Amino acid sequence: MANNTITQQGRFIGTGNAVDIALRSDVDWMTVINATVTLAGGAGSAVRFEWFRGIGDGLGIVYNKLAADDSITQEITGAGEGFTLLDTSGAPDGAINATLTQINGAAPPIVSATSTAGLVAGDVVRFVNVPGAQQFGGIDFEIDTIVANTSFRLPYAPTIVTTGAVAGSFYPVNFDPIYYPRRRYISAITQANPAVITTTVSHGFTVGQKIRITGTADFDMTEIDGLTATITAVTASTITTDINSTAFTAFAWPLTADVPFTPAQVIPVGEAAEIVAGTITLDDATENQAEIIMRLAAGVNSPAGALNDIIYWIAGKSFDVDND
Amino acid sequence: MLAATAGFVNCVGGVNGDNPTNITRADVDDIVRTLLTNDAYTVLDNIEGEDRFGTAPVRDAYFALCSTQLTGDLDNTGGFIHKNQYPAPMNALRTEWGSIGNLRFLVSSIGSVAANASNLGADVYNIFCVGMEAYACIEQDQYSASFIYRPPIYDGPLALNASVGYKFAEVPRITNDLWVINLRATRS
Repeated sequence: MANNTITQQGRFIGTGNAVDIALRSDVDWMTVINATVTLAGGAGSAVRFEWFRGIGDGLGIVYNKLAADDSITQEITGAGEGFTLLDTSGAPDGAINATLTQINGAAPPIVSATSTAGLVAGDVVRFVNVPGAQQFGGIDFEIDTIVANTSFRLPYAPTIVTTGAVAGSFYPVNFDPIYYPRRRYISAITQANPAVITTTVSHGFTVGQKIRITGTADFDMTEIDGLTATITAVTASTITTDINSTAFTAFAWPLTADVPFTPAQVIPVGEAAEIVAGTITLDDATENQAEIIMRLAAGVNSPAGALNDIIYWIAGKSFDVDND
Repeated sequence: MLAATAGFVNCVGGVNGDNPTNITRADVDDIVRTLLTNDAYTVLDNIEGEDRFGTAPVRDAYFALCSTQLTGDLDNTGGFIHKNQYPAPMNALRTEWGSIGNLRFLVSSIGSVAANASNLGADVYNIFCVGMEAYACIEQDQYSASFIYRPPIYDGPLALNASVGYKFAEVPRITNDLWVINLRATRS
């Protein structure tokens, strides 16, 4: 092995869910060992996993300890049960899904689609050319409450007037923009003191940050356009501000016939310099959060293992030698 | 950083049926008016008119940074002056394509593009319209950038491979969000 090979290693305890391992550099290979299964006597399940550059997404080589005498068998993992190398600075959008049949007028809206393959709660989707809901086009929305191959919900989206069954598309937005803090789309603003802003996805802002509200000219609440605010409280999708919007015009989304327009946005304009135990945390400083990630699938036949499994991993970068 | 953080305005004056639309003079005027209202300084001085056929004076201008894919649409936008029509073309920047109103467009093959991000699924081009000192690159104190070269002799007994790399600690930052606007457009 060359001296300049970059090698990394680590350890984690299985949660029963997929695990994302942030790597310090790109890698060409990775080995994962499930210590819990390895140390257990007799027949078990998968004990060791390997991935090399060129192996398809979601796959890997797995070594199973299925026999009572601890002998090992080797095979390829099932689809989606192995490794997936991700670069969050790459193209964020996934494959287009053209099975959308309706975005209804419920509160919050429910999207009907005959395929929900690959979607999980918390994912972000972007709609493409949905008649009756053109105002949602090109805007990111978080999803939840997925009914397999039937529907999913837009928990933070506004209620809209729709035109019934349509044919439309959407695609998953796999990564956030790489720089934090990020501009977000506004779903709603209350007429209240204090004004509370709902964003279309989980926003990531923190208490104390300064924000500016822009692009509300087409959303009727023109009085708030351009104002800055200090965040006084947050939930995943809401921002409580120090603005009194009681006398402002009600915030209302454009209709499907109103496109094109500029979406309402909340943009970060200042940092909080939060002080914890005498130290400025810089928790909201401008930061490039792009990562190279190895995503390990979960389960007894997968590298992230089962709940409470002790997992060791090692990954590295090697010189590429062409043996063709 | 600008694509993730800066506020944006969609082009809405075009006729391609998308959201955002293709760029028009009205969209440029809206951006210029906003930057002027926000007291942003222009970056470049005007170029005075001269008695030369086919030329026109160029206003003092903000920078508009965008993709080379937009050059055709820029050519077709009302009031566009290509840099070879400047009274003094030598004052044009190498990457400059031309000017519209108080925007001078600098194009790059790696200009910012959001793939499939429009209402109709077309690529959305980010045109960063910036005033003077709207954003900056901040280098971290107590840390110097390094360019690292390790010759082959350190690599192995046969000295077959060299390696080269760099490391640095710096961050881009918007200094005043009112002085930078991302004008988003699709192609016509």
